[in-house]
Amino acid sequence: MDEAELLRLAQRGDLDAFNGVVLAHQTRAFNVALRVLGDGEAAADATQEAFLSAYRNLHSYRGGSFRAWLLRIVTNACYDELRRRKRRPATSLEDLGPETEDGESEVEAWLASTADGPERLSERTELVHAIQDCLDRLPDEFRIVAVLADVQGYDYDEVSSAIGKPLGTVKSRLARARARLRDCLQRHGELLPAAFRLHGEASS
Amino acid sequence: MTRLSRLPPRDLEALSAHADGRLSPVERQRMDARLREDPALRRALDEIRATSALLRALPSVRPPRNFLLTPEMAGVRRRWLGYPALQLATAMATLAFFVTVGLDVFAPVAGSVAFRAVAPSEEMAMQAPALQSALPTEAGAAALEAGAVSAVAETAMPAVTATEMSVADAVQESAPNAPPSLEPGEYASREVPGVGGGGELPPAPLEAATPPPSAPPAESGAAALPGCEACGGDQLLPAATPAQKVAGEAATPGAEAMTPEQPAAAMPEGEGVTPEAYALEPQTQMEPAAEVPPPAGLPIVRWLEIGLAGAALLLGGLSLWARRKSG
Repeated sequence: MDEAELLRLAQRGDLDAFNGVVLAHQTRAFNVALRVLGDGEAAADATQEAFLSAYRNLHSYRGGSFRAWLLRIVTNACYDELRRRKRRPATSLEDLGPETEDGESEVEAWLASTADGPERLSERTELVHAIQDCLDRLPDEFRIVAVLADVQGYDYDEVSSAIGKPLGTVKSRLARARARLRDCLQRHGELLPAAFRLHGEASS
Repeated sequence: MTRLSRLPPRDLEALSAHADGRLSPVERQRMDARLREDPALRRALDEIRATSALLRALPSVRPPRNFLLTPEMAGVRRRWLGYPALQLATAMATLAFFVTVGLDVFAPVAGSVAFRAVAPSEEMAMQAPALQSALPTEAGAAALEAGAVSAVAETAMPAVTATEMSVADAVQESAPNAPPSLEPGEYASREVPGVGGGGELPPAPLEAATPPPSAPPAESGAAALPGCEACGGDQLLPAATPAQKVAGEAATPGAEAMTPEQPAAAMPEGEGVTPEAYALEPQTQMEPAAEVPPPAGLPIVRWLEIGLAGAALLLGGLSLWARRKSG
């Protein structure tokens, strides 16, 4: 049964059909949330919330790209979680401020954040850790665009519809997000092993 | 190495879009020309490409669990429907309350005539089991109805408490019934002034409503047991006895007078949805009868007013609860 048929059934209240759609999209949805929120547990919660919201609002889906429709819901779930965090800031990364311009303090922040547990470090490779950390430092609206366009490879139009902003905003946010990410990764090149430095040399 | 963020924003945006192949042909030609001239710009473009590639290389992470929706999760949505239905019920109870008060104040005599015409027709009472407890006309009837209502409440309650969804269902069911249920409300408001105005209120219903000190604390028991005593049945049932049994036994003595009531007491189990739909109302009607100590000789219309006011308050409370629960 194809997705359109499953969605038609789901719109008539068939939960099993909807769960078929969930299975097809959950990895992508979870990864968007994971890269935006930088935390697996929060990402899982946001993903679950997004699918629940998608089911509840399925009547408002009027055909077209379900992937793009769902992406918007996932993005909104991430925004909700980010807003919740702002109301109750709990992580040290928030306090360091995503917009740090000063190189010195960013290095310090970097060192501080890598000290937050050996198990976390062992979970990911250092490169992945570095990228996620630089993503975490971006302002929310830049990070979402970078995750959608670069990490997940959505095209500009899909990103534009997901965040509900015009194409021009997507372009400019993506450009600035990339510049900040590059600067962030470059500056910590010495702290990081070969993989990153290879990129640095290749680009110069 | 230059920092990308130090580039003029226009150039940065153009380079970023160029890396994604999103420049218009004209812009692209212009940018290509500049790139040929400017090695720093070329390097910047490479850096943007490298950054983008690095991000794309982030591995896809397997979700820690499935995000399939369970019926319970999906059922949360249905609970929403309970809220408007409860709102409607609250509004109707309030309306009925004011209509009753209005009739009480302005039309005691006219109400008396209406009562004589309506009271004998038992079919109407049958149509509105929820309202019956508000209309005790005789001692036997009071006991019988208290039993009947408690039976309805008892059989409906497990269904209501078993799952929250069935509350929603019950309320959903009651919503379409709303227009017809307005009718019994009108009957009630017309009948009752008659009883009050007629001054023929027997003392038995008051006794039935006032629990003796030794009465068990259970509301249904308190209402039903004294009623049985009043109507001649001398059996004192323990509080643990199911209310349905009380209703069945209470029905026997009053059977000659109120035979049509008996099916009402027996029916709820078989009917499935209908008793659920009425579940809210009998509960609310029961409350005043059990907990408000009546001054001697209080006209029955006051009882109805108290009952309706209590029902409106209770329904309002339930509406707030439903809103909080679903929101």
